[in-house]
Amino acid sequence: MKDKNLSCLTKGIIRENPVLTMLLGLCPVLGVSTTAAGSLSMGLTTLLVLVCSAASVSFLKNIIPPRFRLLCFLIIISAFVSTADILISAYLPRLHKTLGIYLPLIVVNGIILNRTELFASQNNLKSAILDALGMGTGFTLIITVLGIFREIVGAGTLLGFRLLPDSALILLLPPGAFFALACLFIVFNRLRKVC
Amino acid sequence: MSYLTIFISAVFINNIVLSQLLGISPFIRASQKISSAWGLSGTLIIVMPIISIITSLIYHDFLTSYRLGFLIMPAFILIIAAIVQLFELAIKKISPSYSRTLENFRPFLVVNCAVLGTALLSAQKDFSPLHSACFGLANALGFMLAITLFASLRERLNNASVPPLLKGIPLSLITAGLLSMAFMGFAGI
Repeated sequence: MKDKNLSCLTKGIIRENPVLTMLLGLCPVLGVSTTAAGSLSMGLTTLLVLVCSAASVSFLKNIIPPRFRLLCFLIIISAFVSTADILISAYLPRLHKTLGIYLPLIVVNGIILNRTELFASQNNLKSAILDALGMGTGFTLIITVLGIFREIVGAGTLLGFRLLPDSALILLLPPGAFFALACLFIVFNRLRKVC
Repeated sequence: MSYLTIFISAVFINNIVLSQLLGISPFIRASQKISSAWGLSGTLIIVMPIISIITSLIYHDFLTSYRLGFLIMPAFILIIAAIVQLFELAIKKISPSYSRTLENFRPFLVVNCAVLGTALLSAQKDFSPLHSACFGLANALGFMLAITLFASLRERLNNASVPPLLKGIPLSLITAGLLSMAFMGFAGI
């Protein structure tokens, strides 16, 4: 039993990573990851919304009518995203400005709908929360690694401290997002072949 | 702001996929074949102007005038889901064969960053309903332009011999990056 819980939690981090194996949630991964701090906070916000919506969907799964499943899930998710949006704009206005349009777009992040529809609506509360935690951590890991890479190479800084004397600005522009994610995929494919 | 400015800027300069980075998941997953790319973008061309005009009307006449701005996300996502559902019902009556191809990318229509992003951006920029309809159409055309170019490049790449480490997604992402670099050239206009 304990093993099953553990695998519920850890499968999302590497083995079934939602970004690298299912290509979900690529918009925020590419759009926000220009700085390490911004991408870490985006990852954590998504993690929180994912855990809350998976828990509520799993809790309410017997009440939700199957015909209006998708609509109910969307309302639950958008309620949590609205809450996060209002809280962040009240307490962290600078972060709200950096995330910009990508913060409300958490509603349409494929990971959240995929996990609530395929996992949380069919499993009990505990495993739904564990699964959401694992998947959210996997997403946060990818977006933060990409953010750190793009900030170091593109701006020559990390969290505002200067590390490199020179920088390749292209990594901060939209094409750089694609190139950086391609590098991450190559590393992941390579690692998967070794393991 | 004139309609032409909005149109040109949304299709070329601020292309929704290649420079705003919205709607990447459908962009990559529906572009394996040029036929599925055309199916998805054709649907978006019909649906997005309608969604933009209705969300803009609701936003200006209901949400802002009654100070319900915090309801913007549930309202917009429900409008999008309802219109997509209606569109599906209509298509089922008109052309059953097309509705079967539509089944494959139904999740990309409701949960699509590009659609919600367009609605939110035109609310943010305070466009009038007609301006946002033009903005929605231009974004859908921009999506179509980008995905057509990308799908045709991918079809050619399927026949090329590439290093095994790059095969599949990494090579597609590099191609998308090069396309996006090409679109940066429009920024001078």
